[in-house]
Amino acid sequence: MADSTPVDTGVPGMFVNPVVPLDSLPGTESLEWTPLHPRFARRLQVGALIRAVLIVGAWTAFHLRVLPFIAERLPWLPVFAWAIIGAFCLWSLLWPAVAVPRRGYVVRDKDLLYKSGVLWRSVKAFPFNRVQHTKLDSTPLDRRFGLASLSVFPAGAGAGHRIRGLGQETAERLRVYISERIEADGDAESNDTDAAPAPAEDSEVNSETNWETNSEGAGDSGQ
Amino acid sequence: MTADLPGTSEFDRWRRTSPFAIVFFVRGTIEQIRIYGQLLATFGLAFLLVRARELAGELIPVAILLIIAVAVLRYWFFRFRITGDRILIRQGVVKKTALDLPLDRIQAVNIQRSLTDRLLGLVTVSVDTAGSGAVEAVIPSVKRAFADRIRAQVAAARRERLARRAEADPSAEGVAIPTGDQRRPSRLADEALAGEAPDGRPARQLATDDPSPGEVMMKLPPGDMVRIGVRMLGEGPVGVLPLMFLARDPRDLLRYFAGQLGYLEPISREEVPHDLVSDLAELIVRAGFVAAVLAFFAVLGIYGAFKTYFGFRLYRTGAAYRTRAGLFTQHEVVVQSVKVQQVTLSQNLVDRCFRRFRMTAQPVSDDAEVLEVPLIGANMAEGLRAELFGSEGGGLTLLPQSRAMVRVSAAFIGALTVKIAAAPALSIPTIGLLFTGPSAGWAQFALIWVLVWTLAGAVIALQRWRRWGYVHDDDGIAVRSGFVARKVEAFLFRKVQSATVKQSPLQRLKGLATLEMQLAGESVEVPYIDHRAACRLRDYILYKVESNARWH
Repeated sequence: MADSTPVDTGVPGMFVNPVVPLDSLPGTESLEWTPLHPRFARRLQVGALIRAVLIVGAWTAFHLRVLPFIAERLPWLPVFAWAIIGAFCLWSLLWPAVAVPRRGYVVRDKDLLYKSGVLWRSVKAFPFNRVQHTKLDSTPLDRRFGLASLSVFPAGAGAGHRIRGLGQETAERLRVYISERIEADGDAESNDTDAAPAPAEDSEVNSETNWETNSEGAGDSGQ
Repeated sequence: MTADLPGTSEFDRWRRTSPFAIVFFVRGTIEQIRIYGQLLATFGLAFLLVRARELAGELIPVAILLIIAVAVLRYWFFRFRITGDRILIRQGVVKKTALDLPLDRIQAVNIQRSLTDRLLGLVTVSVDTAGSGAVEAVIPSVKRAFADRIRAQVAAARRERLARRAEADPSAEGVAIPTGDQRRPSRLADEALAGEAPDGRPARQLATDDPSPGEVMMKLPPGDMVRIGVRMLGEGPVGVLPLMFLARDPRDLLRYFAGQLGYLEPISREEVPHDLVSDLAELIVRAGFVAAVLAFFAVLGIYGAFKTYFGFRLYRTGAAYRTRAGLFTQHEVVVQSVKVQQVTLSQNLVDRCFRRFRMTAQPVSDDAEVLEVPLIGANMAEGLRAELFGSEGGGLTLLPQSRAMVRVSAAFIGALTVKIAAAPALSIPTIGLLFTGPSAGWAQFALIWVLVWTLAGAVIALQRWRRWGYVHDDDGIAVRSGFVARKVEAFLFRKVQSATVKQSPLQRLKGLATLEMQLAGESVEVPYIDHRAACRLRDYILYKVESNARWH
């Protein structure tokens, strides 16, 4: 996909203005999306189940201890509340089976694409030469299912963009790959004309990032 | 580096600033007290202070002495130092902090001059570092030479880094070779120049003869301060005007309709107190009141405009743009054109009457200061935009009235109407139904309610749709949006950080999509354009981004 990028601009700083054959730009129509880890939907459902048990437990306690005192004035409250809780729990148990198969990602030579959404769909694109750093994280539940989340941080993106539900090994490989791409871009970026803070081009910060994520990765595999 | 600058040794040891900085710390302390004061007030403790006002005669002098003492202490413990490659600041009386700013991380060196600073020919330097909102590096009341020194060293650090890079990667030696673009033979040279002390003025100078930091591009005369002040009213007048046309106490009207709809005992139209003469008198009083409110805010706005923008000047030094303005405290902002992420031109109703705009150029990070031109004409704005974008983006325009702007799909109107109106139009009648059960009065009310909301939603959506527009060329895009006010945001594609194509169910049905482009500062959306066009534009943006590493 990526080697069909039509024009090499050569020295980035020189003003070159090649004609871009628009039709030959790599599109996203014919991509083969990599699905998320097959266990991810199950992991979300287990998470939802735990949450449902907690909510039902808390509300049952409330129902038994507090509700009798206010039930006179709000006779519809118990039915209403149970209906909402039931709908929410059912929804969060069933929805992952629908939503997760529709998420997916593609790693190309120069960017990472991530699609999601059932009704409201979106395709996000993260060019590697704008990614500042990456992060891996996994909750205990994730680790039990052998999963991890990868976050990419472009400049100004605050909390970053998180891709959940990758296999631990996939996530780690992806992180290493992106880090390599960032470094490659940082080296190529020699015509950058200012004192930029971009960690991507600063070996000191970069190594720090690597260390951080590496240690996390180590933690993951230790589990 | 200019010859007049003091040698490195002068700054390469721990120093205090001048004692005049005490004024700065007094202000800082008062500001902190004000913040705590607001906290106290919210917890009702202000009540205690009021009760203790007999003691005020003794408390106030003590408080003033305390504030000054704290300021003196803070001054005493504030030290700074510039070594070869970094600025070090140590401060704090109780809680000590040590700041370490590598010179090549510094995005901009901005200058503020309070009234005392100006009287004494001193400056307060604040250092912008990208992506570190929590770090506040302000060095109060130092000589101008110090600021020039930092700028020179930042530029030197930058040059050195570039040289190191060029050495490491000889294939990219295009750096220093002049490009075909005649106007700026070398970006690098401009860059270096921009950070340099502009002209080797002597370090000592009076407030009156500021060094001219480059070529003056524009000035705002005092008359414009009035315009800016009135502009700050914004869309306020639109909100206040309806006050005039409310014929009488709205409670009467509500009571009447409530009666008609059967929620309360009905009353006839005649029972609503009504008298033409008193109505007229009331209208006049209302008009006077509205005028007084507007005048009050206008005066506040004009004062604010004078305070912030008096003597506004925009300078250009190489590729750096710098504004300087302020009545008491003079504020200086420097932004280099390579760091500009996006340029925004906005125009509210008042601006529209004056045929002027407000222009801002947002540099790399959120916490870096924005270059703002508070009042600018169309031609000047276009000229400045062209300069900031350099040789790229020639086909763009910042002017909202431009005919080049392409409208988004009209399906936007329907979708936005539903989005605005659906929740309120459906929820209130449903709640009403739950409480009162179905009735003729309810049906009437629900019908009117839904109609009113749909109509209001449609009008708002239509107006929003009229504002949306975009135009793009090979290098960048300009997106127009707004409701009453108009705003055009323009940026070069290579500044994009990530891009998203989104589709709602309705958009999928109609083959439309929303394209969202995230920049380092904020994100810009183009809603409801053809899905294929959105994807192609996205692919093109990715191509531009991925074939070009320069974005800051």
